[in-house]
Amino acid sequence: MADVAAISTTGLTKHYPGVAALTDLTLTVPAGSIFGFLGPNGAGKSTTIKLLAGLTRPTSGSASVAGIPVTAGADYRREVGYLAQEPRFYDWMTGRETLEFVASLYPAGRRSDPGAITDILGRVGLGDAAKRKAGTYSGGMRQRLGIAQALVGRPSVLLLDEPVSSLDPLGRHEVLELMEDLRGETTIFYSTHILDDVQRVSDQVAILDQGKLVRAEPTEQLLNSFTKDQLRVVISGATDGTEAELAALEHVESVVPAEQGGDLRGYVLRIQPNTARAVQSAVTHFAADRGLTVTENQQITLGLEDVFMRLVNTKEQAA
Amino acid sequence: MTATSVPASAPLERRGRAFATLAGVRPLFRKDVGEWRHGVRLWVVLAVTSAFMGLAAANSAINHWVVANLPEAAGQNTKMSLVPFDNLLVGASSQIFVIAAIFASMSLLVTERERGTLSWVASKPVSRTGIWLSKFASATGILWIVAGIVPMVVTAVVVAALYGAPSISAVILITVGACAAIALFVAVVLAASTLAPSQPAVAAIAFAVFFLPSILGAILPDAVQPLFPTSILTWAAGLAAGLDVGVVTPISWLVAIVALAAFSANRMGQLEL
Repeated sequence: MADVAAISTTGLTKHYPGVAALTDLTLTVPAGSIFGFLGPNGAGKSTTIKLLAGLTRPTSGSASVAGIPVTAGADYRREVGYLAQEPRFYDWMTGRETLEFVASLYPAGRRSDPGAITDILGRVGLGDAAKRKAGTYSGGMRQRLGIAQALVGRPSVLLLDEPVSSLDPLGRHEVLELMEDLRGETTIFYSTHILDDVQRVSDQVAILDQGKLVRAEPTEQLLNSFTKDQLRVVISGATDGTEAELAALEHVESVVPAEQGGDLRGYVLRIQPNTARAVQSAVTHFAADRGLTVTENQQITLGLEDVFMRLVNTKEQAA
Repeated sequence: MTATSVPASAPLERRGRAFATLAGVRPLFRKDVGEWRHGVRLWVVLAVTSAFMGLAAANSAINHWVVANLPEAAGQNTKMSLVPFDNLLVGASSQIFVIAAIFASMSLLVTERERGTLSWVASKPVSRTGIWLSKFASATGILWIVAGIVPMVVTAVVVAALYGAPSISAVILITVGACAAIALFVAVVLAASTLAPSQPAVAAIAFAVFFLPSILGAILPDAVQPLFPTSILTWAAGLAAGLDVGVVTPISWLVAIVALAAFSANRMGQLEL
């Protein structure tokens, strides 16, 4: 499992007449990861997931899951559990019957037995509602049933299209907990435009905008790439000359004054890669030597939302 | 070695392809039958078709009774036949079972597309041809019972009660003709459902096929009529009446069913869900 990428796409493209929904997506999703697929509405997230679920044919390019190409039909779909953006099931079936029906669609070796179905229902928190008609389920319950049915065939990859976007905070929390709970058992590839959720559960992230991939890398790495080379320093008793003195410190590339209030002056120091500790130490010594007090001296932490906005804005400006 | 291994593996490959084409048909068929059983559609079709065909068969007897018993109608001459076979045909010739079959099946695929359950099922390891075939088999089987066999039995009982017992072979042949017509129109509706985006559009295509032979019949010579697969009920009635009807119509019917299934399988594969 570690050798073969869970999902691999090469030049995956889907164009409808007059609409380039997805263009040249080349992506590798590591096995066992929770991969957040991020983008504004209309970015091509659902198109990508439908292509990966085998529901839509690519205009060009290729995709595979666990090394099996999407063109392999039923063999491919055995490896994939899919949850639509607004999942709908047969209202006349109970939750349990829905899972039993899904299980019956898999070959004997991959089929969940009644005991496994009971386990899955319990795991998604529908054990007590298993005998209720799916048509009576709330949005959150339908979403959890959706994840349950996607798990029935023990797929290599779960494809979840906006699994939490239509849920209230409680429902969102439940579904994210469930995804967290599945970490390591299967690969989860999910789309969303809720950045907090991605930051919370995803260990990998890809950003898509206007059908094109902007960036794809581990979440921490992406955040660090925007934040690790900047320090925020606040000094009490600083003067107008402090900015230039800070800029003269070793490994400091530039200094931008931030805010000023009373005796306090703030600065953002752009520093050379991997020198944060050295510069922090130099700032401390610099202040001590001059009888100044450092009230803040730390790396700047950006949220995914800031990073996302920067990336999308940069792309728009470039365009 | 190579020469012998090719023919040995070929049947296995063919079997593999057949399994792939039919992947999921059995559970999907059970689900589709379950869906019919959980709705009221089945009972509406049964009641409407049986009542309509029974009344159509009783029409002649009612007409004779009215002429004989109501003073206002006294003296009027009725030419309606009291022969059992004729009235059995009257019951079937309205083709209400075809109309019921069109209405009952026109939502089967379209609604699943609109609701999103079709894309859900299609994301599982089943073939899209299997999805279509299970819908065709379940709808045809159920409509054979509720729009074909039961209403024909009701009609035969009405005919037996009012005009005398009809020939069993005639009842069977006309029922077979009705069931064949039902199967044909379910195939037409489900094929249209792979093309048209809405139920009204599907119904429009199906009714165009239903009425087309009547329109063409007025233009083309009578000899062409047996070529139409939609003439299958007329063919069965002719057979029941002891006429020499040939085999062109059932062959045409079979070709139409196979062609519709092949067309639908191709279209299902192209659908963007």
